[in-house]
Amino acid sequence: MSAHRLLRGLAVWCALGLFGGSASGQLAVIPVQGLTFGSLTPGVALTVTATDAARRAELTISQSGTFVLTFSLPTNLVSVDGRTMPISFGATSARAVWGSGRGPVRDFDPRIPLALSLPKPAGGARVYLGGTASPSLTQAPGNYTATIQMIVVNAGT
Amino acid sequence: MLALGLMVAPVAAQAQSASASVNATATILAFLDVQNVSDVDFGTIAAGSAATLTPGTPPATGTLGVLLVNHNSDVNVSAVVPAGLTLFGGSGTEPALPVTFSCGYSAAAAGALDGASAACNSLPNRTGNADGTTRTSYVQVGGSIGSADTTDRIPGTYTGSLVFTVVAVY
Repeated sequence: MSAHRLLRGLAVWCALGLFGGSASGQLAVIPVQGLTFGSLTPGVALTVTATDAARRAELTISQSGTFVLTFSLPTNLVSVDGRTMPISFGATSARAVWGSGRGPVRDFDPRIPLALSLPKPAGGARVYLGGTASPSLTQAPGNYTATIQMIVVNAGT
Repeated sequence: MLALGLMVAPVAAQAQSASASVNATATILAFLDVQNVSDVDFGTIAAGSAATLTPGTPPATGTLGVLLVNHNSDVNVSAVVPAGLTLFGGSGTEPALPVTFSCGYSAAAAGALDGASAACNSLPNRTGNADGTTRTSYVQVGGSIGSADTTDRIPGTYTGSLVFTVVAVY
C-alpha cells in the first residue's frame, strides 16, 4: 500500500469517525422551568428543595458522555427598581437524575463543579435546582428575579 | 505519527460545551390595611339649602368621611359611589337625593390634603415610602348636595354606600 493510499484511507476513516460522533447528538442544555419561590413574607426565608417539582428549576442535558457541570449562581434576586433580596444555595440544593428522569439520583452542591458521567443508552440527565430566598423584615414589596446559568462542558469519554 | 494526528482529530472535535439559563423569581407581598375611620355625614339640611363637605377642610357642620390606609407600597384607590342617596325606611320609589362625592389624600385624619381633591373614582395612586416600611395615609371623603335638590324633597334620612377598593401597586 502506497503512502498516498494510506493517507486517503485514514482520511476516509476520520471522516466516518467525525460523522459518527455527530450522529450521537450535539451536546445541548435545555431549560425546562425556572426556580419559583412564589409569594414571600418579609422576614421569612423560604427554601425550595430540589425535590419540589412545582417550584424547583429544571434543565436537561441531552447527550451521553462525561461532563463537568457548573452553575453561575446569583447572590441576590433584584427588583425592577434595583432592590435586592439574598438568595443562597446549599450542599443539597441540586439534584441530577440520569436518563429521562427515572435513573439514578445524585444530590449535589451547585456551588461546586460536578463531574457527571452519563452512559449510553439512556444518555442525558435532568438537573434540578432549589435554593433559599431570604427577604429582610423591611423587604419592599414587588417582584424579584435573577438569572441562573448552567454550563456543561464535555470532558471526553 | 501522521496517523496518530488524524486519529486524535475526531476526539478533539467532540470537546464542546453548552449552557442554558433559567430565571429565579419571588414576589414580596405588600402589606395593606384599610379601616373606616368615619362615615360621610352632611348633617341636617334645610329644604332649599345646599350642603358641602370639602376634603382637607374641617367642616362647620357634618363630618367628612375618612379611610385609614396603612401600606408599604404604592396603592391605587378606586371607588364606586352612588349618584344619589335613598330615603332610609322608604319604599324605594321615592326620589333620590343627588350627591356628588370628592376625595383627597392626607397624612392625617383631618386637615390639609396632600395634593388636590378629585372625584373618588379618579384619584391618582398614593405613593408608599419606597423602602418597604409602612406609610399611613388617609382618604378624606366629602361631597356636595345642591340646594335645588333639597327643595320639595321628602323629609327623612337619606343614605348610600360608598365602596372603596385599595390595591397595592408594584
